Amino acid sequence: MFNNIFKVTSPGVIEKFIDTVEDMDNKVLVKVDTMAICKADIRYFLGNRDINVLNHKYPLAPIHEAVGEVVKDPTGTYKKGDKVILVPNSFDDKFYSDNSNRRCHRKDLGDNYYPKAVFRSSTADGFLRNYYTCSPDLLVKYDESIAPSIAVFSELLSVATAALRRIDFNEVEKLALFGDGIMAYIVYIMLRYDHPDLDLTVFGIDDHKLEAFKDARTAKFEEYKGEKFDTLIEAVGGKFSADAINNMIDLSIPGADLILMGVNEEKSPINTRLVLEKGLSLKGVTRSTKQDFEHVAKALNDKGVQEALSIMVLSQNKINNVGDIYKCFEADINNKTEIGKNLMHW
Amino acid sequence: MNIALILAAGSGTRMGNADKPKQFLPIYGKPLMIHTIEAFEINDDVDKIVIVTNEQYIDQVKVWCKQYDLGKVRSVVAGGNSRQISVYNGLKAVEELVSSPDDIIVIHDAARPLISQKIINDNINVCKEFGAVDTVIKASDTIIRSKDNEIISDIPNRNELYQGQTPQTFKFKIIKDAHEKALKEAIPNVTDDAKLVLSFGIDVHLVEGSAQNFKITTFDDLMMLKALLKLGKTEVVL
Repeated sequence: MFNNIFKVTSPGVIEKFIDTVEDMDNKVLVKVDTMAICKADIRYFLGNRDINVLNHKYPLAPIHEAVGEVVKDPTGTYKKGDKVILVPNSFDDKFYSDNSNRRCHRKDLGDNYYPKAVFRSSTADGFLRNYYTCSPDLLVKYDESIAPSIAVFSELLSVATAALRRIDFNEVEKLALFGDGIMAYIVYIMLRYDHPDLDLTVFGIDDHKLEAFKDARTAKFEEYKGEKFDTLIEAVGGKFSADAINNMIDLSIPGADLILMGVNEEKSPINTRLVLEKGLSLKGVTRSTKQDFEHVAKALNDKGVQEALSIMVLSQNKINNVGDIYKCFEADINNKTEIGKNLMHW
Repeated sequence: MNIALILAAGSGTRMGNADKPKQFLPIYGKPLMIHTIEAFEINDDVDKIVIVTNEQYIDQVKVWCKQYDLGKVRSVVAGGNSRQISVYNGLKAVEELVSSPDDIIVIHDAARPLISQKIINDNINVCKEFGAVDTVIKASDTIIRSKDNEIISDIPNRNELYQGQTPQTFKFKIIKDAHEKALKEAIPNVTDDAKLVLSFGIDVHLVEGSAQNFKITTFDDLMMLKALLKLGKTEVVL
């Protein structure tokens, strides 16, 4: 069967390609339903990465946040019509035997950190296609009562879950979340789901965006006069991530844990003197595992999670041609005021 | 009930490949017609499939249906020496499957493998309301009419012109009656079902097709398909 797949071929250019759907023997055929654009997709689309890296990547189909519906499953794992989250990462068992990957065996880190692990829309084509075939273990079923426009945020939620996995919550008394954008909001949703009684303060700069964090204390760094924190999560990214990390270092108590989630293409100058003085631990988190997706599939059943995610649906757009895809990318690129995404579906 | 009638009985004489008609040519290891049928197999609104093919290929097509797990295929029947007879033979097989005269029959050329799910869905939905549907795309080139192949007789207004594609979709009673009347009245070699239905005074509604839904008729068309697919095989894995 033939399949349409859309790829970024050079900065600002998306083209349609026709591909054949892979052999089905041990694979599930999924009709891709709803897709969301990630900041990483926007970086590839705009060409905002090192040109040598980009020249190796193009042409590359974007999108790693997607849900779909099972069309056929010769393996018998899923039924026709099952709603599934597409897991964008995969790795090869042989990575286990490479000693240089020994730390990736740890459960708190996860297999997605193997240097050769494949991640859709980064080291392999993403989900901007009509149909997708994969092994059954790269899908996670979600309840059919949940709207695809809600479930499409699963990949983001899984990364938040991965970040929270790196924290020993028995040791947490006061947690600070830095950021008022999409990733911070997603972390806030998972924190409220997994740890509803946690003392949580969200630091941001935009009053309008901070209003979304209804069940948390919100603050601005310059005005904050309260107690310092034992656990701090950075979900800012980009050019402001260095400022955020330094603010977090200032607001840390000795021995605090700092979780870094934001992607910055530039190197961030940080106050290592204070890191040493306070004995801080910094952990990087940007990749989730299938187990994180499974946790998210359960969280999606929670009405509070669904309600919190619903404000992130800025628009739903039917994609009939490449022009419709451009419009969604432009809408997400130009959105500076709202926490949310312009979703695409076929 | 919605039944797809796939026409795969062409001779392939325009392909310059007389020993194997175009619909049987392998594309990435799979016969062209199977790619087409798979598009109907996975469509939620298509309940059953009937294939019309060359008599000597019937057994082979049945094997392929099993090999490629095409569970909706209910019947593989022989075509005739014209498109009209092939469709009629298919309709006779369809008659054994229909449960109502209003069941919808989606007639599609096996040699149009790039059919989209949207076109199939639009055909079925519009047919439910109006009973007769043709898939078209707006004519992009100026169409010239010449009666003697030497001078222009007429240049019709392009805004009123479309190029016909398939599927052509009809309620069963409408298409069956039209074919039976054509046989009775000895209307010869009708190459288009929409034209046949139209000739009996029934309105045929338009559904927007796609340039991608082109028919593999000539060697150049096959090259075009292969070129499109070759571009598509550029998956990057670092």
